[in-house]
Amino acid sequence: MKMKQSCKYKYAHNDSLEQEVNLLNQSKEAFSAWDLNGPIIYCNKGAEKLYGYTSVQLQEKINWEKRRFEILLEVGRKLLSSNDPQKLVEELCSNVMEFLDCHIFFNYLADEEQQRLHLKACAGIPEEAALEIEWLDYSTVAGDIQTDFAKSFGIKACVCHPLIEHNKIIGTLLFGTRSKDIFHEDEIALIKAVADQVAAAMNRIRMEELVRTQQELIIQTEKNKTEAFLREIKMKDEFLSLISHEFRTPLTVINSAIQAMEMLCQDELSDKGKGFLNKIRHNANRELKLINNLLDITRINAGQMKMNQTNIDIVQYSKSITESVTVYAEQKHIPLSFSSTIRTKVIAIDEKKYERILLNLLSNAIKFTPGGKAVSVLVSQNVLKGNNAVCIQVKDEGPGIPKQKMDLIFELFGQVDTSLTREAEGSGTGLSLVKMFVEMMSGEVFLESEAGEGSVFTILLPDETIIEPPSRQTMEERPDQRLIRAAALEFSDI
Amino acid sequence: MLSGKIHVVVADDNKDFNDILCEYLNYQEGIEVIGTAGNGEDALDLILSKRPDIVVLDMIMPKLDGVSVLEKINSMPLERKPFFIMLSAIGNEKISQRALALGAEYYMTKPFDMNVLVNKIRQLPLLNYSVVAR
Repeated sequence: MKMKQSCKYKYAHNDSLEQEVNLLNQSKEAFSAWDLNGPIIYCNKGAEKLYGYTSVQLQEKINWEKRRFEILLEVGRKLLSSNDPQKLVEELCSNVMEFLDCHIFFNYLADEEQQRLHLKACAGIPEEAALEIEWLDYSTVAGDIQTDFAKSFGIKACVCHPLIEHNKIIGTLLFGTRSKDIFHEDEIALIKAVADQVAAAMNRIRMEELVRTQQELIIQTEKNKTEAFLREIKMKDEFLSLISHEFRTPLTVINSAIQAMEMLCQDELSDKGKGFLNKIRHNANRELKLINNLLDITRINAGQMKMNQTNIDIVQYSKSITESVTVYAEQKHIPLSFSSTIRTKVIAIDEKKYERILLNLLSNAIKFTPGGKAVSVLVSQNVLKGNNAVCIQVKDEGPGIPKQKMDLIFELFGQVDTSLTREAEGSGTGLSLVKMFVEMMSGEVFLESEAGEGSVFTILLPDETIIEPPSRQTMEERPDQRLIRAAALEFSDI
Repeated sequence: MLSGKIHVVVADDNKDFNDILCEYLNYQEGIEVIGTAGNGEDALDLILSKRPDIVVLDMIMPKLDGVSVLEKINSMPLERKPFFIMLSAIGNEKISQRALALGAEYYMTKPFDMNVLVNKIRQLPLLNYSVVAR
């Protein structure tokens, strides 16, 4: 206010500056003038008395405060943005050293593993000397040792401040000087402020590190788990593949021996003997079916199952497959019918896989339908995902599938009934394989059923053809021969 | 086929299977098994010494597997190579494709209908060698 008054006075009277200063010097009131950038440009006796400093001292004080503020601002800013606090501690402390005219600085951090203080950074002493005080025991008065050590380098005054984090000392900061005997209160306060900020930043970084380490630990654990799981799957697949091969080898011998007996020893076999031979063949086929299914599932899971698509009249092919199992239906006195709303339809399918699909559905239908009731196959046109599709339905008059089992039925081993009183035998591999095959052909399979009302299995296959690659005829077994063998295998557990 | 019979070499490491297959094939008119081997090396020796028309070769065998036997035969400047029918208990498509690429004529997954094998053995020598891509 006073200064403002004096300025008004100055401009009002248009006096010279000298006159004005004289006027102010004589005044008993306190006057001071400040540059807008900070430095004090004038201070009269009254003002010196008021502040308790001479104008020179006041200027120093202001400069000091300004620099102190800058340092603390820098400390805060850098510590908040940095992930390498140690480097910054060194940088900041050298700034503080220069500002406070210090010649030495030590920064110790508590090493929780060693239960000792470890010298993390220092300045003003030779490297070899630093090694002598690299580790300090908690039990010793660390400050005293550091001070004594500093004194051996001609240091006259020391300030040692603890770095405190959550009421726990995590380290120390020590500054020492040769140029004075004592540190001023303000200087000690500045060192304390720096130490507190450093401790806070270290706390932040330690927490971040803790979170990061824990995140990495979680990621690593999950990774290990996944790897172990994949290893387990691979081992399981390899084991299944190996065991399937091992199962097949003796079955091959049994199978070929049966064929050899039928061919070579036909005249020597009694009817009874032929009956037993039939039972052996039937059951060897059953075992083979299960092993084939397991091996195929393993192969699909391992991504090793290939598709061999060709363009085939699906109506005619479905009819042939249905007719090939008439003999099994007749054995159970089940009328088996085939009908189609379309005369002919050529689409791209994997012949062998489609054969397995339809044979499996037919064998299930005939297996679960009691004698006298009917099984039918219907081919029609439909829509799948907005595109034309062929719909193949297998309808039986069996006991139906209860709702709670419908979701499980296409799962691997989903059909398995482990109760001792189970009525139908089955491994629960057939339908899951049907689903896998249908999906490999970009189709869909679903089930409609009600207890006591029978079941309808529906397959939708895209109405699409492919450009066929040239095939080698010599490689293929005649389809009718293959169909008979495949049906014998599929119907082995009827 | 000097005797008018189709000469066959059978190579499989399962002795029981080998025995049954030989009996079965020898029972068939016009087919004669002129040698059997229990491993790939013996099979290769038999092929080179006895010059069969057809080789029934298992894929998985000790010492030399079926594919390796095919590779060795392919690397040799033979005047007339036999037809190969491959057998495997694992229907691995990768291996079967490899065998076919190496010139095998037919691939059968065990167990199989032995009549199909007999028919194949009878058909193959009727093929004109120059027509068959090998």
